[in-house]
Amino acid sequence: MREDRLNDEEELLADMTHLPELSPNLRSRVLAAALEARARRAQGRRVLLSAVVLFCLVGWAAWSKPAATFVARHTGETVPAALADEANPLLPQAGQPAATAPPASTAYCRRDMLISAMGDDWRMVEAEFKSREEFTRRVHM
Amino acid sequence: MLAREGISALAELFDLVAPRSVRYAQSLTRNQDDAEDALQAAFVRVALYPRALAEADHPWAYLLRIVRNEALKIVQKKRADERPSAGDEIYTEYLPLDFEAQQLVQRSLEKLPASQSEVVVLKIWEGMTFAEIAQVLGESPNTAASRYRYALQKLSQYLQPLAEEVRHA
Repeated sequence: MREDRLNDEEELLADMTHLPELSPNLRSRVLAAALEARARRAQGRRVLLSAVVLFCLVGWAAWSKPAATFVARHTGETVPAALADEANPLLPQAGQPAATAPPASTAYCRRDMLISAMGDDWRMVEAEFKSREEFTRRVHM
Repeated sequence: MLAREGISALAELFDLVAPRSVRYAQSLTRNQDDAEDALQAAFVRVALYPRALAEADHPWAYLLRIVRNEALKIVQKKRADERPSAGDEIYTEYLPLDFEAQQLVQRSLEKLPASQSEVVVLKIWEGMTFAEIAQVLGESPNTAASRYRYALQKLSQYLQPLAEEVRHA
């Protein structure tokens, strides 16, 4: 009896099926919002990609460009008259740039400096091994 | 198709599912404007991640689940300043069928807890099985079935005058 009544309610509800009348501008509003969201995401991706490329370029420049010449060229500071020492020709005179670019032969970039330091370290290790071998040989003699 | 054709595919999808999705969302939000907002948010999500919908085993259930999530977000946001809705009385007077009957059904559904009314909408108006409803709700089929049973028991009280009217007609 109770099941029958529930089935009646189901049938009644099924008969009453209806679809709501949507707002007239809903379609355009929804599609515009979807398009805008896609455009925003595409722009966000472009910005992120540009930031990554810029970061890589700056990193590459910092790694491979001589740091000292870069600083000397771009600071452009001059020596004030009070600090100048005319008696000493080795020191920069008044009005001259405080830091001058080092000669090209000594303008190492960070990469070169790192490789040189690694080379020096390795030569020191080799020298240490050689002196130990020499010492051992002499002791045995 | 969504990923390739973009806006035209979204427009086709809208025409296909919008009224039914709004009807379902309305069972949760109890308000057509909020239901339409939920649909809009769901479409934004589909536009951003079209592949998820395309690769879903049951795209319709998946889309309804997105609509459901967006509707629940709106409901949670509005809960703070929610006011009790008018019209809690049970209709016992004579009711002609069609428009007023539909109003009665709508109000009866609104009186149910959202968790029960959404199951009724999905079961009766969307013709889904309890297994499919369970996918939309993220619950077990047994839970969906018991919610449906409770909902029908309550609806049978609310709709009694209408049912008797139909029997006599």
